Amino acid sequence: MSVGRDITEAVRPPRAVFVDYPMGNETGRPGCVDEQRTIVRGAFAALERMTEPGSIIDLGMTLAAQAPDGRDWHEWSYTKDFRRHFMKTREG
Amino acid sequence: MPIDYIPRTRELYEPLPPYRWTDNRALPIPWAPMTKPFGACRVALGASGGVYVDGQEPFHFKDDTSLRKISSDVDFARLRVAHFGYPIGDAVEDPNCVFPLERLREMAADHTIGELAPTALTFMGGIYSQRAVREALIPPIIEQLRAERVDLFYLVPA
Repeated sequence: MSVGRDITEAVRPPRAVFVDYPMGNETGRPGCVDEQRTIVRGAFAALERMTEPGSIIDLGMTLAAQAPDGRDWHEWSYTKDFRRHFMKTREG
Repeated sequence: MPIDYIPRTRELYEPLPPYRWTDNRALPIPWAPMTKPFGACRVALGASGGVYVDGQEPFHFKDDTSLRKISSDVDFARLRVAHFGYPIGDAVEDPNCVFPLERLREMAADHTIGELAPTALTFMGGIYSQRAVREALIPPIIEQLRAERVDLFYLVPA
C-alpha cells in the first residue's frame, strides 16, 4: 500500500497500490469496514494488472475530510501545526 | 491532489537539514513474477505502523529495528500501537486502519486468497537510518517469510 505517491515513486517497489488517504489510514478509517474491504480487496485485485516492475496502481480513492480548522486535510497534514496536535517526537 | 511528502516534510522539520529519502530510481526494480493466482497464495501481512500485542515490548522511537511476530488469529482487543510518526488515534481505535488483518481473514474465509500465513509481522516505520533497515530489519523478515513459505507479502506502511 502507498499513501505517499512521491515517496513510492522514488523507492520504486515492484508493486504498489496508491490511495489518497492520510498516513494512519492506509487501509481506511476506524469501523468503516466496507471502506477497509474496498481498499484491501482492491489492492489484491490490482495484482493482475501489475505486469511491469514498478507498477503503481491508483485505486482512485480520495478521502474527503477536514482538518480541525475546516481546511482540506491535504493542506494541513504534516505541517508544523499538525505535528503539534497529532504527533509525538522521537524523544516521546 | 495527493500530498508531496518529500517537500512537505522538508518544511516540517526546518531548520534541520533535509532528510535524504531513499531514491532507487537509478537502480533496476526487483521482480518476482506471480506463478499462481492470488486465490491460491499463502499471504502474510506486514505493517510498519507500530502495532504490537499486549505483553510484547512496545516499540521505541529511536531507530527501533525490532520485529514483532503476531499470530494471524490474535484477539484484536489485545493489539496496541506505539509510533511517533503519524497520528495513532484511529489505529488505536481500530487497528485495521494500518493492520488490516481482519479484512484478510475474511478474504481467506471466502477463498479470495488461498490462506493466511500463521504469523503477521509488524515493525516501527520511523527508522531514519536506511542502512539499519537493510541490515537489521529486513533479514529477519525474509527469514520468517521463507520459514512460513509465504507466496505474497502484503505491506502496509504507516
